[in-house]
Amino acid sequence: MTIKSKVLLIILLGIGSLFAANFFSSQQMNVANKLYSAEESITAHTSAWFSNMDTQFVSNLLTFDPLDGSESNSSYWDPDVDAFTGSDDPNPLYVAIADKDVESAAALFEQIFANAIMEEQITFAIAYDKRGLQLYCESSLYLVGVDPCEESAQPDYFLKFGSFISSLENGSIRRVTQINDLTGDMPVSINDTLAFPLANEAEEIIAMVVVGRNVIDSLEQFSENFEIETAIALGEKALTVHDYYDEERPEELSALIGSGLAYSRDEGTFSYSFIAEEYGNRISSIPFSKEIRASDLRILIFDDQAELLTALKEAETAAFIIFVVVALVILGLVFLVTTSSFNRILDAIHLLEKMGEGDLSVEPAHAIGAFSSKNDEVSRLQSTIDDYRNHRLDAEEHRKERARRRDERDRIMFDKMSALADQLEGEARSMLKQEINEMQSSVSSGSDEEKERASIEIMSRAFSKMSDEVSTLIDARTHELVVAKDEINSSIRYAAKLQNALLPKTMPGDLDIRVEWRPRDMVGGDIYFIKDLPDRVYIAVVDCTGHGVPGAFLSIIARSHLDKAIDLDHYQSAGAYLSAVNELLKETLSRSDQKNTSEEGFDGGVCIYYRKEHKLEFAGAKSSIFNVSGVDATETSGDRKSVGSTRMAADFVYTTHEINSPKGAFVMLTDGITDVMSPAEKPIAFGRRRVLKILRDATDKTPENIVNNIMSSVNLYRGGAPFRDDLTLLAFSLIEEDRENRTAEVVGEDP
Amino acid sequence: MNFEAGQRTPLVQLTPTSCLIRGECYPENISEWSEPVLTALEECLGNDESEFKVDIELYYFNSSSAKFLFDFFEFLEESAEGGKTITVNWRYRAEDDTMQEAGEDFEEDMSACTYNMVVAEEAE
Repeated sequence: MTIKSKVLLIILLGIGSLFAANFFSSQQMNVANKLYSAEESITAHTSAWFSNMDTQFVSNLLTFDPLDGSESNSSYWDPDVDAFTGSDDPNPLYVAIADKDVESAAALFEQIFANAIMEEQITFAIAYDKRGLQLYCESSLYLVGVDPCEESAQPDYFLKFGSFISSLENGSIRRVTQINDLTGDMPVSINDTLAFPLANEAEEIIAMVVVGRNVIDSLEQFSENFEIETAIALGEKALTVHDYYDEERPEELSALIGSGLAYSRDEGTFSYSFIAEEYGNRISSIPFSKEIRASDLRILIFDDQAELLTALKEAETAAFIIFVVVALVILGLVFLVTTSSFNRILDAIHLLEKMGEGDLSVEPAHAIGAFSSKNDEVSRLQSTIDDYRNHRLDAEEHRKERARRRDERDRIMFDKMSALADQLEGEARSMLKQEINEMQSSVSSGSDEEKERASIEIMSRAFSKMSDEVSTLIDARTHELVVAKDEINSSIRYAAKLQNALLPKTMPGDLDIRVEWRPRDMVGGDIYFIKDLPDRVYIAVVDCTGHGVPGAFLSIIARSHLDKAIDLDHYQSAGAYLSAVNELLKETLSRSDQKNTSEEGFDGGVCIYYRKEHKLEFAGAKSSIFNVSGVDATETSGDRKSVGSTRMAADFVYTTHEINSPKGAFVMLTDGITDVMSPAEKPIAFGRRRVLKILRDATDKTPENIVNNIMSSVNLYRGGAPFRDDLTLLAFSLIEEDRENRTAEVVGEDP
Repeated sequence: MNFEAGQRTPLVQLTPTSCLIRGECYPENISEWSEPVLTALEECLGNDESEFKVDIELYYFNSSSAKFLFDFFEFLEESAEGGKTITVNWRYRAEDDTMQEAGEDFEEDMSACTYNMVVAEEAE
């Protein structure tokens, strides 16, 4: 079942349910209405009937009542007055009755009632003496039903005459009196009657009078007034006006009476009102009078409702037709809307299916009908699909563009590679050509995706070919650089070799000398110098300004001056020696550069050990010599003047520090040691105090151990930081045994 | 006028009445760095202010930088001899004997300037 059919079915069911609900509720309302109108009808008819009867009773019958009657009439019943003659004699009627003079009494009654009967004010008047003997009976000429004065007429009170008499003891009564024809020829006559007693002066009832009026007149009048048909129901029997007039009762009326009586039987009620639709009549049943039970005597009223019922039927039919038409219109509209929507949805589905198959050529339908708008759901679906299709078209366009560019790129690549192949020779060329052919065939067949993959593949291959070329080139360049660097490095290495060659190679036998010499950049400004002469030994540790190659140059000059300044023939104090070096160096530097304003020169210390005198002399230029002997470590500072600097006077004399009987180890160093900085943000230099402490703390105070201790401390101190300067550390001590031997030798030589 | 501290050069802050040098000093080429500093110092000293205060807190300087310091102090001396009241505070950490000694070395050459050796708090 399609959604459309479902929607239509649901709407159909909905309309049906609505119709059923509406029908049910209107039925309910109808029932209520009918009940209400039945009540209304009963009430209206009852009150109308009663009022009609009462009026007739009061104006016709009650006038004869001894108490409530008209003055003229009631005077006839006064036992003390003779109303007949107007004399003061006793009432002749009472006299006649008392005398059992029936004829006289009848004549007198005749006088009272004749006029009224003749004028049909009353239908009949009957008088009885107290035993039930009829004194007088007169009835109207125009009678319907049985004549009450006939022999065969039997009023209903005859059957219970005793109770009838006793009922009159308290005065007059009003009652409905049925008079039956004992022969059965005439229909029963039903009368509204007034019965009253005649009492003498002694208040004894001597006679009774019954005046009655046939109700058929009232019934006819009632029927005419209300334009209805009526019938009197006596239990299961019914009487109509037709019965009295000896007419044929109309068939329709008989049927209505039958229906009314049947209703009474079926429902067990005698006061009702209902519409007998098959007869187009409202059938009502009301009690005949207040005094009598409706089950015994009641009036059936047949109100012709055919027009009203027809109108109702018509209205109902019209409502039904309107309902059906509206339902059909709604269904039709829904059908149109759903059909148009579902057709558009089907279009959209068709479009999507086509797109799924890769066919983008189907144009979307955009017919906006009367039952669709641009903002409805289907239109939005359509526009979304439209957008999607446009995106697909764009993507397709894009894909084509990409394929075109790829082809272009491939073509350029092949051109370049072909050009490269043309430059090659022999096997390499044919291999590349073959490769190009393979690549070309790989990008010229297969699906778009395969082509794309193949293109990327050949791009990477071409790239690797190209990068191989570039690598070759870079390798060549790098090689050149490496060669150049190697050349420089080898120059410097050679320079280092040369500088190394200037360092002392042999050590005096009577001195234990250990040195740590470490130029920062392979060569440097630091240098140490040892000159072993027969009677003395020169030891110098100097730090020329600058480092690297310039420092190394200066160190060579310094070294040559250190050598040159030695006075081989005479005693030379350390101070004098250093002063001589200063003089020489200043001379050299100022000669080489007149405008030398820089601080070229050196700091450093010199030691001269006189073997024979067993004496050590020290002179220093911004340098110290440390001595450690036992637990004690001391520092002997030199002058605070650099050798060779422009600030220096050429004739400056350095102080000589004499150390007699030198003991323990001596340490000389350059500021490469003391200026090693800690790696902190605000670094502190290693300093001389730390050197002194190391010397004091050392357990093994041999030069070798001292050098090792200081170097490991320095390395620890600087952490990961590189050296900032060249450094030289020299420690020495006298080898006691050797010295003693030598001394002995010297002493021995001495004459 | 400020000279920001470099990898191998100290911070130099110059105002008409003061000069602060702090850090390490061992540039590859000392004159390249020192010349603008000395020129700026000369300008500062050339004004009419009667007082000039110098604070120096160095952690390390190499031997070529020592020459710059000599020149620097020479300027100060000349200026002080010219009538300016110049105070030099050489700040050093108590445990930094190298800088202490260096300060003492410079002190020997100073006469016209008021020269103070000041132990700097590590916290500064």
